[in-house]
Amino acid sequence: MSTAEVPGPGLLARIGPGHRWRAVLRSEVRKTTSVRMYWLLLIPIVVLALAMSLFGSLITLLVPGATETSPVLLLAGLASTLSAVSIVGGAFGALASSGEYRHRTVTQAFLTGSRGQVLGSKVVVAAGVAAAYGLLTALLGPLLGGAVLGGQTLPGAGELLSLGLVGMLVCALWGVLGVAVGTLVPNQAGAVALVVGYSLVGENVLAGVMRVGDDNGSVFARLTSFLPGNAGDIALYESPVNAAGQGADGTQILEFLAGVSSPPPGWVALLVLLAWTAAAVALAAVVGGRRDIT
Amino acid sequence: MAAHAPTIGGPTVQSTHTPDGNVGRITVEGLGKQFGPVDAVRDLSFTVEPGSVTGFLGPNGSGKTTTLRMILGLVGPSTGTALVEGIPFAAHCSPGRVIGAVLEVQGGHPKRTARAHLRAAAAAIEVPDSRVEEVLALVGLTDAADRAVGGYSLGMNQRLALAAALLGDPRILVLDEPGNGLDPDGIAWLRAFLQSFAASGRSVLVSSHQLAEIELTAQRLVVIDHGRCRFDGPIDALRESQSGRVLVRPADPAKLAEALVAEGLTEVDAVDDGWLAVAGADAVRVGDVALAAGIAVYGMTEERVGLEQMFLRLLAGENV
Repeated sequence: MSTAEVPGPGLLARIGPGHRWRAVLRSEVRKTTSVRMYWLLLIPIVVLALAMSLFGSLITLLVPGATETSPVLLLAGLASTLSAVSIVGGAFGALASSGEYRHRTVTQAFLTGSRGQVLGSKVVVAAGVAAAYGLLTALLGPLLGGAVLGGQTLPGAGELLSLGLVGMLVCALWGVLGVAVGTLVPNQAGAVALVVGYSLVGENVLAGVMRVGDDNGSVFARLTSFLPGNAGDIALYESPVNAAGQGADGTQILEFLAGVSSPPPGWVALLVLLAWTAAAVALAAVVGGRRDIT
Repeated sequence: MAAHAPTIGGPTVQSTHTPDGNVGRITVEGLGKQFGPVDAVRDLSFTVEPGSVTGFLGPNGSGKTTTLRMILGLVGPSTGTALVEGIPFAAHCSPGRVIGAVLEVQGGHPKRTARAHLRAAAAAIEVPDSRVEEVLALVGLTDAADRAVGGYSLGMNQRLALAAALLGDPRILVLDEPGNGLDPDGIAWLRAFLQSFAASGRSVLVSSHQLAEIELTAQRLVVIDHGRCRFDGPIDALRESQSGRVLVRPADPAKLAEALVAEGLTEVDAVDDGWLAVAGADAVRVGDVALAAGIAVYGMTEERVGLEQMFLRLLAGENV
């Protein structure tokens, strides 16, 4: 008798009832809150928020007449902080999923829930934790910046809110991307190095190569906007650039900040990042679903 | 088989309903696994019956762990099937309630406490947290429950793994070398526990290379070597197939030997100090022959062939 002859369950039966997904999700939440990793990663986030706020406000204090632009500087500082925090979110996702292989707890996970349920619950938890990192940054950044700036003009609540929401979304997507990478690369150090290294160095190198000897015209140069890190940056920097209200110059500022050519609108960039994330999770589901746990 | 049983090659049965006759049964048919060029398991077939402890014996590297992991859906078979209660492990809606497993020392995240580890598993299996306290008490870890498992000894890790396996009150227990790291008290406790677990109508599949341990615990035996099945059946059948012998110390060895040969017991050897070794007979038969021949008997003992010797003969490829 071969494997193919055994009647497999239908797709619906394989997915399983909703209460099973909720149960495995509850298990994942308990796993996450019972070790320190999720709040240890808050340390780099607070440091990043502090550094960016101080840096932004220092410019404001040093440059004569910068008070008028301080809202823009604060928004730009916050956007770049959120961009960095999204990498921390990605690292969290990668640590959480590859850690199951490192500590061999994946056996226990797969004995009590289906592989799809385990991956799905990791996706949800990583998205939630990374979004919380983004929220914390969005709250902390303006508070710290405002405290340093004193009575200076702060950005409007609407601008802060929209940037904060975009930041939470970008962080959440990177958290999920991290889970997918950690599933595809079960070596924990490798998975984290891949996520952080790609975000900090790899994508810049890649974008640089794609734009080499080019004045924004070629297809390759235009494609730089569609790399996952750049797509997130475009979405994040759109808010401060709009606040600066520079028109055509604004596009150039955005191109400079995000390191891309001919950026699409922010919502398109978010969809691009979403597509990357969905593709990575689908690949992780296939590869992780077939992997032999020996 | 019940009417709900899926027909092979027929329409696919969507439900995960278990045919009644299969509760607690593991069916392995033609199972094989290749890792690259290595045949870890080849054409392996056996069943684990409810209400019994099945010992899974084989030397290191014989494919025991790979087989258990294929049964549990952790390793995909290259050929054949491993069914738990009639369907593949992964097709069970809530596998933790059907089958509990103690695989290699697999505690948990080193920084997580035993209680937190079990509570995470309890959530996934959908059992209340009170069940965590029950299994902790059962395996004797209550006092150490709030310690991080990174500091656990091998034996404590084994107890934790057993606690996790029992959380869902499963109908089947699969254990891979559970005696490793347990102290003698722990081994005796585990033996009694597995026997009572099986006596309640549930099934146990336990692998070991500790032959004496299996002999005391198991009623059925599956012996594999180099990925192939060498024996599958009741342990008594294996024992009965072995010719035991009787050691007897008569007043007159030569006269008794003559009498035994006359009775058709030709395999009689003289051993030290006037003892005779008689093959193919039990003590009753030898005693009767001695009485009929009027020879006094000063001592007599039945020599049983230990599982270890049977096991070694099996592995040497001898017929049993």
